Amino acid sequence: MNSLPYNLEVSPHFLDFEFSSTGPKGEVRKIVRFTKMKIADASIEIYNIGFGDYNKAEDRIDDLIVTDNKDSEKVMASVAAAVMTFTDQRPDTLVFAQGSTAVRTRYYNMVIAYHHASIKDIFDVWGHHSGQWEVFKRNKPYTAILAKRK
Amino acid sequence: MSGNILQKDQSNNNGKTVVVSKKVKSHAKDPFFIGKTKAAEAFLNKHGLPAVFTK
Repeated sequence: MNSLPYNLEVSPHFLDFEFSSTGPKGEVRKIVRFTKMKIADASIEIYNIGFGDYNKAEDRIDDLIVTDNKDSEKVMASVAAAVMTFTDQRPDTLVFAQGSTAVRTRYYNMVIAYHHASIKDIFDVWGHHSGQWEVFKRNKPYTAILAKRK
Repeated sequence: MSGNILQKDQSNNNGKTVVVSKKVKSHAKDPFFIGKTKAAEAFLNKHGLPAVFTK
């Protein structure tokens, strides 16, 4: 599998990213959005990362559809490139990530775990498990992820 | 899976992997992202943050 990212376009404020997945199902436009959150007692700015397919026919975004364009690793590398670019611009912020389904969250855990050796040199990562946050460890079923540039 | 998810490809080295474009529209008011953000806020306000990030 090829883990090089697709080319991305980003809005001038570096909050909205777009790229096109290409494969057997054709071209699918992907949207990545970072949205600032209001969290009580937080001492740091926190952004939620949202990610989905743009449905042109219905002019809406969908994160439950299974695109099956045989490029999931390339798509994840593209999302990672968006996170890198976003945190290049805002290194002192936290990024919160949670899958739209338990299966998606498990997949994100697997991707982070697989690439943990390289990610941990660039990001501090925490996982939420059994009601608590802890420093990310491989092979634990986290329900949510937080990351911050080192 | 193979390779490094954070690695840069050749086009990235040429500065082309991420291009700033005014054509990328803001989704700040998109109901999809508003809903996702509210759910994320609810999660963090319920479960809190790592202690190092709380006042």
